[in-house]
Amino acid sequence: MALKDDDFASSTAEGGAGAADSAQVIYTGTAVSAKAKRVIGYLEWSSGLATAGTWSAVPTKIQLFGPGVPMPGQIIQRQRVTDSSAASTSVVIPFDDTVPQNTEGAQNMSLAITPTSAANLLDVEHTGVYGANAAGELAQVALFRDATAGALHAIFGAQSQSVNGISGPVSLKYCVIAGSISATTFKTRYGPSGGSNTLTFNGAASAGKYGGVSVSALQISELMT
Amino acid sequence: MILSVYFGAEPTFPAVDQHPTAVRYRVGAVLVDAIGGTPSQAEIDAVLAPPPPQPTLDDVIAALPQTSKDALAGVMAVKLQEANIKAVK
Repeated sequence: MALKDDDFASSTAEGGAGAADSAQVIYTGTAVSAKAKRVIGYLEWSSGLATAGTWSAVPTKIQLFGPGVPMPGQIIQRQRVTDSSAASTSVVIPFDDTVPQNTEGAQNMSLAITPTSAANLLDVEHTGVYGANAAGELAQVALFRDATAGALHAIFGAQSQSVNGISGPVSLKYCVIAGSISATTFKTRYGPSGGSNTLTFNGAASAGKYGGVSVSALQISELMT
Repeated sequence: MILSVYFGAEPTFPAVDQHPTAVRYRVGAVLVDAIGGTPSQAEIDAVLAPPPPQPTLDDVIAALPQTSKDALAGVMAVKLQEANIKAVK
């Protein structure tokens, strides 16, 4: 929920039963409608809470709002890597109803981020230029985190309509809880679906295109929750 | 086994990101992440060379000699006639 100081808000009655346990809901003792509000601060539990609405542990952070203190939804930091170098692989990512694995396809981009809070969100975006070498081939891209074998997210781009046709670009977006303040690395892998086909990153048919100004990117934004 | 072929700058991640036993080699003008030893140029070419395009039905018919095209047209005419007869019945 995007909290702002310059608008009005309505609330849900907490009811005195300790039932203030839904995310994205503003609770008050009795319900109010379209009232001016003021954000005075936030409490953060990076660990220690087991049940929503049961505040049985001391917060890991107590922060009063003031200049420079971010509101929910604001970007805390952004990491970005770009790549204009072409690469090719013929290692297949199966085009079936199974989760892509980090042994399938080939890795093409990697980016690390160190979150400032375990409670914050990591918004991952990849825009890639991909070209196939065979009609009907797909640009398949999967997102992985650290050493986890299964992909977090996978997508396939447009099907190549002709031999040496372009399959991409592919745009992949994924949002996940940081979960830790340790450095974490996100990686993309790409691959064709057919055993004898080749998928090229930043190019097509095993060659670069546009002399190095065709650029793919991987970006991670840490968002305040 | 070749995992990835790079045509430009070396990627920022190590070869072991591709596979725990992968090694990065320079072969001619390209960099290659592979397992099982240095790949040969022929193996790299096999990965990079696109397979020959599969001919369409139009391509196959166009390549036939005229006598075969005439024979095919005759067969198609008979089949069409049979289909019309069935439709009338």
